[in-house]
Amino acid sequence: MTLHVGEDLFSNVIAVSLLSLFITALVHSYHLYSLRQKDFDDFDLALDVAERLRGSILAVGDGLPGLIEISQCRLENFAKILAVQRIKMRVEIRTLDGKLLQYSGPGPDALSCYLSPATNVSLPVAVVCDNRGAKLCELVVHVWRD
Amino acid sequence: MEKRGIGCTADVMVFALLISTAISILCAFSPADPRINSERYAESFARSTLLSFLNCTADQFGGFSYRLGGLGSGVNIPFIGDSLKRQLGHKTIAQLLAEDILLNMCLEAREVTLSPNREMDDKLRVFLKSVLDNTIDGRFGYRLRASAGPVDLGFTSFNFNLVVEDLSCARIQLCSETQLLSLPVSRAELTKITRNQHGINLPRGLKTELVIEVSLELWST
Repeated sequence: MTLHVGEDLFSNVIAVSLLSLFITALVHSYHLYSLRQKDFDDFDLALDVAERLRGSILAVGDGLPGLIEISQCRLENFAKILAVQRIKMRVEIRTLDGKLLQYSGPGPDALSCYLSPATNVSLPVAVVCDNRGAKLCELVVHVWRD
Repeated sequence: MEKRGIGCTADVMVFALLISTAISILCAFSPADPRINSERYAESFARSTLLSFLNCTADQFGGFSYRLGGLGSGVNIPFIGDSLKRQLGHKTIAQLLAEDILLNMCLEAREVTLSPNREMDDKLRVFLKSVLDNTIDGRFGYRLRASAGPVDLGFTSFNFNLVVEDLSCARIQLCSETQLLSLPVSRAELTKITRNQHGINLPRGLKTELVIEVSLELWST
């Protein structure tokens, strides 16, 4: 192929620039797509954990569906099971106006956050209070990979 | 310009077009924010909300009270007014719904709603809206529907419908979760209620297993 300096070179430069631009856009789109997909997977994982906590780990054993009691011991045991799969979690119980009532587990450190950002899910739950009444709160579960 | 240069440019253009198509396909199939569009999250959220209603009392939302409407809401005698007031803060939200259903059944044959406690029904709607606004907190649009019946008596039938919704910013329906509750009254009590409120005696052989169907629809915003 003989390259003619002038129009040929100019058209090639334009074509290659355009191609580079489009390939960069494609790579960027794929990167965004992967991030979104990962967000979705992480969110599903956090939702699984939250449902498991609400449905069995923290559930009150009196046949009262939807009622949970906070047990640090049960939370710690569940956290250990997750840790085997290199999944870490932090559980928070907040009032509907956002006040933190109780929490379990450390928050994600800066390095973990950089490598695998924490995802959180919140579900409304009825929490047993001291006087055997139930209080409507939010169960917030933060999940991230180690 | 040489023919070969034009050909090369045309090839690149076609390739760029293919890349654009690939980008648009990736964008189209890219999942949106899961907190907004996840049907699974919406289902779980709706189920949790309905289950919470079974256990949480009205007290934590400022309480709930209404005046008995037996003597008419126009009665304004101070000492009677207070004695007619019913404080129901200790009842759970599901129990309040059940009480509203018992007191405000609609008689279908006459096409009128015989509601001796209209005030309770109205107040309960406002109360439920405030509870749902607090719980859902703008994450979804919602529609709560509580219904019972119809109880067919042959010549007439009873039913109940209550709808509380906020679909002002709603776009797509994500889920609809339903919970069935049994009405906490015996047949004798139900017979007494229908006789006192509507003047109708339930037939002896009638199976009146009234079930309350509470469903919560969540919509993406």
